[in-house]
Amino acid sequence: MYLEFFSVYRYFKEYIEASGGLLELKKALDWSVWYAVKWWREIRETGAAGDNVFAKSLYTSLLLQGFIDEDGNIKKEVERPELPKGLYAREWVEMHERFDQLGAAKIARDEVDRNALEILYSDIQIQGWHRIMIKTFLKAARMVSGLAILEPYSKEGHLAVLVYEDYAPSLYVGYEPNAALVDIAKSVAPQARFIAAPSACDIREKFDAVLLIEKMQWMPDPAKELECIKKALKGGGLLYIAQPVVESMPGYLAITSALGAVHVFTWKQVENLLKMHFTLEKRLIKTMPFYGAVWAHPER
Amino acid sequence: MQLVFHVVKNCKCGNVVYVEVPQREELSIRCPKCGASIQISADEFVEEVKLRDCEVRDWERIGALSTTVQQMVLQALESGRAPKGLWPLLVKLRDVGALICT
Repeated sequence: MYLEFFSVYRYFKEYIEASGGLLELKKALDWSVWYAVKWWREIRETGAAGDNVFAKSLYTSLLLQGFIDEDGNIKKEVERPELPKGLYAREWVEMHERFDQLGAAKIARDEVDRNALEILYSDIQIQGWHRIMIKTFLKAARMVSGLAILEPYSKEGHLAVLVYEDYAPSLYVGYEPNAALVDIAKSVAPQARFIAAPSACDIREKFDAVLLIEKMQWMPDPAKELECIKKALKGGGLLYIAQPVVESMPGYLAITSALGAVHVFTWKQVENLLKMHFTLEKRLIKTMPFYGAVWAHPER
Repeated sequence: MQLVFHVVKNCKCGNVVYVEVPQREELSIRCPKCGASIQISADEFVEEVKLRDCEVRDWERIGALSTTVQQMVLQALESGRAPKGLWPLLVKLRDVGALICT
């Protein structure tokens, strides 16, 4: 699970330092596993492990990482980790704790207060570790200024804010099926343009870059959506992708799943979907703390 | 609770002028002290959320936020101003009745 630490350190040094160092980061990541096992146990014991993305994400990630067997029985117990001392590492643990307070079984049964989940989503977007993680990824992926950027599923516009803080895009367009979120995004990032649209198929302009940062889980039909994204991308244009996958942090994946995801993927599934329309330019990391890569439009 | 744009400009007479507008646009103003013209480009404005009179009505909701974000919300309430990144969260807290703003 931690085999990728070298790559992570190479590209995400700032993120690790902000977490308080490698050891602190490991402690924080251990908590994600600990909570995932806890939530899985709770939803199994209460018979809530039905057909929902939250339960599926817990099952697939814990199975793949050897914590449960195919029948869902826990085969590897996880000891309660030591609390990290670093500010951002603690913030990460606290995010799991807040989610835990909502009740895993309630979430799996869809009985949880939806407003609480909505508020948690906004909370996560402004947490320090999340900002640092995205900014570090964009830097590692060698993002530059002057690009016409398309952001699928732009939600509340937080990503646009981060991009404008460090770069100067020539154009920034976000599309989002939820019109209420489009209005919020317009207020959060007034320099950008946000459109209420269900898919990239409705976008007529051409872009130099697409930002797929924690986005693929929202796509009802990822293959079709990626095909439309390809049409919106100029020849040789780049697609920057950072996607939590089942080999990543099981707790965080479960949280993002509970916040309205439609799918969970392995890193290989992500690559197979991308391969249908794009060519791999550079893979930064396979799984830790997410799948991170740059893909290109095949026509130069 | 509304989104506003502000800028602080130094006039050549040394006077510090604070300008707040509801929309980001190019502006020409007169210094209230010396009457000199001050040009402000749209890019110079900084967005922020002006909270006016907001108070917490549901401490449980606020307590459920992460510690850092709780502090950001409480500081925003205290100062009457919030960074724009906090806007979506503040809107949701207002919509669920955790914050009452007049």
